[in-house]
Amino acid sequence: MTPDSSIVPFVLAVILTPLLASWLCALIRDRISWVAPIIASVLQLISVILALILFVNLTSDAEFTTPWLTLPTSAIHIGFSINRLVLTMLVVVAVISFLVHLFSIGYMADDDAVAGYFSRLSFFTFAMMGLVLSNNLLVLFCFWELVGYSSYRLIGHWHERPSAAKAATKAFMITKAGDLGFLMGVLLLWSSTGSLEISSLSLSETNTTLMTAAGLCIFIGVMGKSAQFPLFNWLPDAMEGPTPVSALIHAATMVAAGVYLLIRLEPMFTPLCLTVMTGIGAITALLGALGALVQFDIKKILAYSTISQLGLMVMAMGSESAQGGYEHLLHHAFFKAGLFLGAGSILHAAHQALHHEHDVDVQDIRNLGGLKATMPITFFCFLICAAALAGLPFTSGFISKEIILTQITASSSVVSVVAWVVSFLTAIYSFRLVWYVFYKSPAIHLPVVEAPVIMRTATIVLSAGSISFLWFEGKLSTLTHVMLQGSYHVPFSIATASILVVLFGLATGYLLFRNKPTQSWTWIEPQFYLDWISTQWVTIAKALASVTSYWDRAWIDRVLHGLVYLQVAAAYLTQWIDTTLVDGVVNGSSATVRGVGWAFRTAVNGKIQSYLLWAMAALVIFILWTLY
Amino acid sequence: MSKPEILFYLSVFLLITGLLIVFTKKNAIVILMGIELILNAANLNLVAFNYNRPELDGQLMALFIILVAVCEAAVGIAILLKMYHYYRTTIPDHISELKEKW
Repeated sequence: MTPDSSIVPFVLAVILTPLLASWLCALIRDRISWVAPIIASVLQLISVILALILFVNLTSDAEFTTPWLTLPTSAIHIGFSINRLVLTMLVVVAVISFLVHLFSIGYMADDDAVAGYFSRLSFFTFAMMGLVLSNNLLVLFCFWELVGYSSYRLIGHWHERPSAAKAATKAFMITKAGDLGFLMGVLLLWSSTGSLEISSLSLSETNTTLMTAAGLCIFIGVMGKSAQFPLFNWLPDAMEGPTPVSALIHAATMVAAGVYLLIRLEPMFTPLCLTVMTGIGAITALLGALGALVQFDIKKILAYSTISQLGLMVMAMGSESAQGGYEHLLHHAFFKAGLFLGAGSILHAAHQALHHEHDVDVQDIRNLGGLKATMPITFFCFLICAAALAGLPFTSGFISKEIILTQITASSSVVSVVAWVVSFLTAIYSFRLVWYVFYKSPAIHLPVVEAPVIMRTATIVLSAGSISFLWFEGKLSTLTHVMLQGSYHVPFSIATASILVVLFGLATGYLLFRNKPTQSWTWIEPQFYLDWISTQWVTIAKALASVTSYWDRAWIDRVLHGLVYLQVAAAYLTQWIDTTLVDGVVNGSSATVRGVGWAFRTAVNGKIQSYLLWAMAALVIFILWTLY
Repeated sequence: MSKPEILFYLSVFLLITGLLIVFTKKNAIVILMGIELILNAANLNLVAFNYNRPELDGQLMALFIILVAVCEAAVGIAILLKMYHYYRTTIPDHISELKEKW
């Protein structure tokens, strides 16, 4: 199809509306900062509607490019791709971002810097939408960095708290370490294929080694962004940000970017890359699930569960189940955002309830409890999302997890065991979370009330998106599944086994946590020593830096000083030559002229007698000359 | 020593004395006197060279020169007077209108 360029302004409008919102909110004065949430939300709603119109009118795939940087040998194009995969992600990002905006109106109502918050939130959305749409790896990398930057700003929103500032810096530094790998991968691709167009990337037979290196480097970037095994310790700390930000980071924007990139670049990964991905994903999924099992902070449990689910997605990508990974990404976006917004509602209510006593940590699930009666709507939404997380039937998580499990079980044995174990653990920690927060009798009785309507609405929409209520191609499906028009085939045995595993997990959870133990299993270190490893890494880097600095001072500086001394000596020499020889010639000639002038001038002194004397002397000389 | 020889030496003495006076003295009148001495040294030469000849044209010439010298001295002193009248000095060094001042 020849691209219909009339939709270009339309697509630009979709991604530029949040940017406009960000710009407007940044300009708003403090005095009228209450309009910032309204502006941002309305513009975000417009963006959602435009994205939906774009999606509905999608007829065929298209690429729109325009040359940006023309080099003598090649050119870099910027542009965007329009296809089902991209637009589905675009719609999901827009919708979840809009819901988070809506939720933030209630959640951030009392915040001092609300205009700046909404400005950054809209900017975050803009960056992620740009990342989703771009069809060139270099442009994608730019948006990738913008996503990292705006997440840094949002995690550090309460930057007057040292822990928040530290967490923001940590998130930024660790993802930057990954981005370095991404950049190297992009450069490797550029040098091997000479093109960065995503559509033109494919696995060529000739450059397998180079492609493997490039794929691994890009995967390092994904590891940083999507919180995979060695680089995931920033994500639990990122909980220092406001809860809606966590929802956005975990659902649609930050961590989704890594998995989304893997899906976009799927054709270029070599078998070795896929194996590495599967391994890393498996480790991450297992560690994340174990971490979620021992945490007591409600937001950190969700963070670790995100890590685990991301590991599952990466594992699916590595097992060549891109469809399963992608659907799980989208479903996860809905139910994880729902969980975070539910948690945000709970925290908001708890904070409202105890604004005198600040020594109680309301994020600790041991201090919560019994909220089923006081917050019924939030409970119901939370329950649906948690069921989707655990993968119970009739939820979105069930479908995508079945697809992944089918594919992984078919591929390799060790990893499939991990996938099943993770599925089992997920059921346990989902149960534990719901049980602690809503069922068990609380340690402290908090006079909580249900969250404001505007916050509830967002949570309800997200939990509704997590149910598989649509009938499509003879099977139960979710909205995103229909949008992707994916078809799947899950064997009956797998589905049965999966349901049994989940039910077994829930039962285990009930047996383990029925008596609500307040002690954690101390043999699981929640950070898995990754902070320690990072610290050691930094120490090694510092030691290396001091060695190189010593080398600099001791040798390079010395050589430089020697050169400088040589130069000074040379300068002295030339100065001597200048003053003595060059100036000497000039001064000498002028002195000669002056002396001659002096001689003549003193001779011609205007005294008549001296003239006479000279005349006489001349006469005498003349006479002597003639005589002899 | 013969008579002309004495005259030659006297003439040389007079010439040198006159020259020294002309070169060293400040006042124009004294310089004029030195010039007269030089003139007389020349006159003595005329007389001395004519000593061994029968004709007297040398001595006559000397007499004639003395006559002219008297007139010339009168003219010179008249010029000096005029100069004194104009410049209010008889010292030639002080008359320095053409010389740059430094």
